[in-house]
Amino acid sequence: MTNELKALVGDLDSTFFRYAHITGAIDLFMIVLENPHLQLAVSKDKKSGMMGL
Amino acid sequence: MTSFKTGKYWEILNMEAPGLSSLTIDRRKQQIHRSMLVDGEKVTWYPKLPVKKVLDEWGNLLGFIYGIIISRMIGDLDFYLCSVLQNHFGHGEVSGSSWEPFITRTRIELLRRKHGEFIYMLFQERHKIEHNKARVDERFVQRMFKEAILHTYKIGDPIQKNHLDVLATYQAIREFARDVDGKLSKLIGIQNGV
Repeated sequence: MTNELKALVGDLDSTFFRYAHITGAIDLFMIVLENPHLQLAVSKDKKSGMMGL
Repeated sequence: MTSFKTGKYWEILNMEAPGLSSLTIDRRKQQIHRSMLVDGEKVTWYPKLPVKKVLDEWGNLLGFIYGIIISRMIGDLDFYLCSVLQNHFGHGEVSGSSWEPFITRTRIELLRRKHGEFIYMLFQERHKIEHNKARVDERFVQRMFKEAILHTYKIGDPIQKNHLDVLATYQAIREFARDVDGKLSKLIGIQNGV
């Protein structure tokens, strides 16, 4: 195995790791958005229940 | 819609914020707008959007990520081909694709290696994702025809990817690269008199 292949395998794993977490974060974000109770639970503003305020 | 009133998530949330289920929330207020203070002035850097509009974009957002990730993985493979050319053949490729130069210099027929045709098509798709708004054009069809690669695209078709495509691409690139690298290692060994 060449050093270039070792580097490629590392790069692919790194890209896949990012893929899994980015898509997971999007799914989680959407799941929170569609549920007002979850929004309130993660909101900084407990009164309005709006995200990220 | 996913129900989270059962299961582990809901249990955790109720532990963190007991009594959530009894709260009422004005849905009309639901919108996303992120902001920050710059020199004491509030600057909104994320457009105000109704939640429904964002939720409607769920699939499109994920599709966008699928395309980016597949492009990135093909980019990783192209970097591998480019690095081999640079480090073992003294050739610095600047054209943006090392596929053809790699074949020319190493005489390894990449199309005939494991998953070679699939990988070649991904290279071409990547090019369209990045330079033609993910639309198939005549040049794409001609290239596929020239290499006798079967596909179902017509000119103007969008290149759409899903989660399974990402998994298949990840696996195919790994197996393709291992196969090519085995051939390459023998070639380099012969060149070095091993």
